[in-house]
Amino acid sequence: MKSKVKIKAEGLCKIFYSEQNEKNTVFKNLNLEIYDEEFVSFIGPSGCGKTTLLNIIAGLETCTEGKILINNQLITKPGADRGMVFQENAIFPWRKVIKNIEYGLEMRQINKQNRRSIAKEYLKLVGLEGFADYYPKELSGGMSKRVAIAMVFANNPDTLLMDEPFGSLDYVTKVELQKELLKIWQKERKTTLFVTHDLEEALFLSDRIFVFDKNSNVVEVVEVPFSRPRGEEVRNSKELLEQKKLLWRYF
Amino acid sequence: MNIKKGFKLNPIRILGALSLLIIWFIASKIINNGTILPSPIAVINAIPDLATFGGKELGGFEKPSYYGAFIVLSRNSLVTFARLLSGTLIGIFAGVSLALLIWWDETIRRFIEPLILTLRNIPPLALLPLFMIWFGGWELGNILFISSSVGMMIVINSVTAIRNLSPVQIRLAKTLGASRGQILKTVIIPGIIPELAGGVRVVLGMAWAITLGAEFLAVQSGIGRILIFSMNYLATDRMIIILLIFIIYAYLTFIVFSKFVNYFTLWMPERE
Repeated sequence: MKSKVKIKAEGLCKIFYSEQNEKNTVFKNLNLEIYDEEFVSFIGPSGCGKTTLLNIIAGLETCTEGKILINNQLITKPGADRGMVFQENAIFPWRKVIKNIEYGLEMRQINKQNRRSIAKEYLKLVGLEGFADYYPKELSGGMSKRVAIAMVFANNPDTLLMDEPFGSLDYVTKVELQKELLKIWQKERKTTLFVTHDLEEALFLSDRIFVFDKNSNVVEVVEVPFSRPRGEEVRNSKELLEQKKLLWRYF
Repeated sequence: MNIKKGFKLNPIRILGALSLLIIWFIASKIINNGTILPSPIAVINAIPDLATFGGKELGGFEKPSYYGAFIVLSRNSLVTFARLLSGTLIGIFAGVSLALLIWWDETIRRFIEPLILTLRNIPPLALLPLFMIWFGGWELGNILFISSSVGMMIVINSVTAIRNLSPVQIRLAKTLGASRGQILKTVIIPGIIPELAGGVRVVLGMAWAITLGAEFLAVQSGIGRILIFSMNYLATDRMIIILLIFIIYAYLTFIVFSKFVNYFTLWMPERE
């Protein structure tokens, strides 16, 4: 399965200048390879550049030096092939739930009937069937997150970038959404890059975990040993706890 | 501002509204001079006098009558409304378009911003004499005067509204494959509506003042003109009628506008 390289970073370097014109180097020389249909997590201390890396892959930011390739193509701008779920509550408050999920399809001029039926399918998949005509203001935080996920999946990207998507949710909702995400991922097998601070989350979801230190170097790539599909028993297993202890060393 | 809650009648509210009338009545009795402050009754009795506004050559009636007053008021109100509405709509359209252009193109922004910063410092009424010279008695001059004042305020308001948009929504649209034009249509325009509505609400009150200002000085018709005409004759009673009518009109436009805005901002979370 893990044969074809999907995303490749070569000598990536990113320099920011602050308002005071101070130079801030995030990546010095980052090299990494992510395989097709792989689920990887990025963990590391705040400010280590995990979000920046996702933004560069999404095409929302450019790197200062080096290059980053997807399917052997240089990434220069955002595209519908890379969907992103943001940390913030990113849905359009002026669109009803169903119109939010349709958004990407509408931008790509898919005809109305087709996009409605695709949107309904994903609405069902995230368990919000009865909420098609609600405005986002009428939804809870967890439900908004489901809409955001459905919105990205409905657009059928082949790479999924998730930037601490569940960071702001309570534990129960978070566990629910992790299960749903795995369920959808199991079905569609999109290459997924997942940024998180939560070790349990990273272990439960990923095939591999990239551990960054505060200088944005990859200090370790952990292969997660659990077989798929994964159920709730994995979350509470002794092995997961062991792995968690091992990862703790880097913090 | 929440208009949905509705306006409930209760005794204190009624008393509040009536107090102005009572104060007016008492004050007019004390002053006892109809030119300075006529009593409410004198004002009602003066309504038929409005029929003679403008004299024969401008379509006024020979003798005072309620019927004539109604005709004269309706005709001039229509003229004023037409000016207000066309001037305001053109101003809003121009202001928003300019703001969108500023968002769209960096070069345009660099060019236009200092222009706006300079022009915004001119008080609108100071421009009126210039417009009179440029356009003379043309109706177009009035409308352009109103729309330029409205447009100036709306462009500043819209630029701020665009700047206040959440950047994550634009990023979201980009990652879902939206082009720049699509972002403009589906993110920027709907996103600025709430803040823009607040701006237009303020501008609407101002637009009434500007329209009346234009009518004071530049034209021979409209309710602002009746006001100035009445002043020339020291007809304070008629001036007060116009004032009251003006209050009703301003209130009506506010209500209609709020209904309109509520429809477009159903998606907004309620504000307490």
